[in-house]
Amino acid sequence: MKSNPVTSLLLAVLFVNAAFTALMTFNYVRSMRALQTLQVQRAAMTRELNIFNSLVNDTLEYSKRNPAVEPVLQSIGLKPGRPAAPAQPTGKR
Amino acid sequence: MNFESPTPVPVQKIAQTPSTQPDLATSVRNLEQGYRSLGYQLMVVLVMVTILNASVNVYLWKQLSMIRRQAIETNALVEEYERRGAPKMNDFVQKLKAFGKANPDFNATFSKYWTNNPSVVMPPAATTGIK
Repeated sequence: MKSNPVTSLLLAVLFVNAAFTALMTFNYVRSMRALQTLQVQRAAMTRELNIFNSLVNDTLEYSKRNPAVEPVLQSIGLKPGRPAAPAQPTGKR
Repeated sequence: MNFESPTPVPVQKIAQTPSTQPDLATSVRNLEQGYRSLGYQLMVVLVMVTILNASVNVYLWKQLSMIRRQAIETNALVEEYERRGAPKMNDFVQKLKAFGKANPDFNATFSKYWTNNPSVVMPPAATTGIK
């Protein structure tokens, strides 16, 4: 039986394509799993950051009543240190 | 009444008379046409499946690129947090803990977030929602 060369070529292309699809699907599933793991970590990180922000806000609120906590806040740069005394104006008008 | 046993009628051979030759040729021609038509249909189907497969490949490729980009970004964020953010936060919490020992009135604020487990910062009941 004589086979059509175009059909054979198309079959070969289809085979290669299908093999490539299988490879891509495998990579896709693997990458998706890795991304999901990372997203779980990111969600935990975001949750911790939200809690930390709440703690910082409450501490800032507390620092209005008790300024003794300010050095702790300054240690992580949440409150600026005491500004230097303003220089005496010496400029001439 | 006729009680003769039914005898099978012998299949009569179709006589290959010259008058039937054109019918045979027509049948062969029809078969050839059908065969060619089937081959053409197969080719069309193969082309369509190949195009469909290529489209799926393009889609998968784009999705894979997007997922990899997201994974790299998320990984960088998490690593940055673990390298710089988390130690800073722990340091701050330790300092607040030490401050709370010297200033018991701060413990009311601090205990909303801090339990006896030093590695866990607990959220207050009112601020668990995502902002």
